[in-house]
Amino acid sequence: MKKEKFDWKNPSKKQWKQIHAWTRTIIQIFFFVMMPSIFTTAFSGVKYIFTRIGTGEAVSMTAFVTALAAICLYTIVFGRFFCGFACAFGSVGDWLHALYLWINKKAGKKKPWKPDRQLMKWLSYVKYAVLALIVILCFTGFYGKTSGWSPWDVFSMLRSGNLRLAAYIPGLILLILIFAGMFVEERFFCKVLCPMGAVFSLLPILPLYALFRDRQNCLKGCSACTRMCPADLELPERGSFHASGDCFQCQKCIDTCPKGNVRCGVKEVKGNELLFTLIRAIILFALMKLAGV
Amino acid sequence: MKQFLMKWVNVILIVGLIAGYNLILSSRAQAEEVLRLQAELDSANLKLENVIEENEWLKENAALFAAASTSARKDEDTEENQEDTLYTAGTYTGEAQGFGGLVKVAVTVSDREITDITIQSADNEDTAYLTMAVDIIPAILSAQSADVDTISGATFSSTGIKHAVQQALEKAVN
Repeated sequence: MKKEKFDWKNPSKKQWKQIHAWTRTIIQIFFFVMMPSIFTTAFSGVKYIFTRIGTGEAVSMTAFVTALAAICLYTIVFGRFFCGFACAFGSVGDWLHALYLWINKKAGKKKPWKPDRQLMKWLSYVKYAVLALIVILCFTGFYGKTSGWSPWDVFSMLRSGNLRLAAYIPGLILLILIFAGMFVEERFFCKVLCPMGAVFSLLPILPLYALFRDRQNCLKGCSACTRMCPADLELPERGSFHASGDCFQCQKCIDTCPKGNVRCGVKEVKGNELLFTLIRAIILFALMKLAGV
Repeated sequence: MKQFLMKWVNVILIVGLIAGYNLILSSRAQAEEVLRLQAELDSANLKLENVIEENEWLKENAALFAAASTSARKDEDTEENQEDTLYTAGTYTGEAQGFGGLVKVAVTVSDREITDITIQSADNEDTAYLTMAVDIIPAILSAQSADVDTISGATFSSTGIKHAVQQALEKAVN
């Protein structure tokens, strides 16, 4: 796939779309195999900080805190590229949803069932409650007593082939529910429940590599990018500072826009999206290796 | 723009608060350390005075106590010989289930003490968790027992280390 592309002088729009989709899948598989624990490690940083403050101990730069700081800095500069391309949990969700779409296609259903958009919008605030709840549990020292409940622990255990799940039945049930959600709704977990996503959403993402659109060039009444967006975002006007913390940087909108209006703040990137994606993936990988994940 | 600035203020505030919190804790710890050292110094001075006094008193009564002290020393000697050693000195290995696989440790013991613990292999543990989990080693060394609390946040890996050390110590016990 990759080799062919360089032989073509001018891949068609559709072919570019395929190239980008495959590149994303390959990067996701790479991170899933090489670094499946970035999410849990970084979030352990959040838990660690509040547990320590709760017990009145100093917060030292442990491996968890370093990973948390590194991923937050990366996200401030590059947006939530990690979510779209490197998170093991998100990747599994994407594959589950792809399976859902494939089944629908085979069954001859043109429009697969989707949860109500307005409902999803309201539900997307739940993640802040999840974050607040975990932080409070850590601070008060109760988190240790909920060990069998974490669906992320169960996910990590399954991934590493650790199948002694007897003490993790509540977590396993939650995980199955989450996967069911991810199956019918693209990025259900990331939008609604992910506490790390809540942290990312609260970060001030620089308007450099975040995605914007030139609205005045849009076709009248067109909402192709919003309909394609897993987070249902209406991208901000280029030049503004309203980069949304809910954008996963999946970049599907770039190829979806019939007018090619979607691009990031730095204009040199336009047309070099593939190269830039690879560079970001390499920087992320190197950074996480340095941080000791 | 306003939202963007607000987010920056929040981030800076949180980082600042954590840094400030750490600073307060470390200055408190320093103050406590100073007090503790002061107290130690005082009690050492007191002891010194006592010793000097005792010494003088002993000198005065030297002849009287000479006989008694030799017999006491004899008792001590026999006591020491009777005391059992805990371990057979040497290096022992143990292994136990960590998060993703086996954790192998080597425990070095002298007759009475655990002197060193090293991790020989832990191939399937995540690096970040393992670096947290090894904090259990100094805890085991200072408690001289594997029966210590696991490291929260790295429960699986530290439990693996703990159980592996337990296994090794079972081999080392007389």
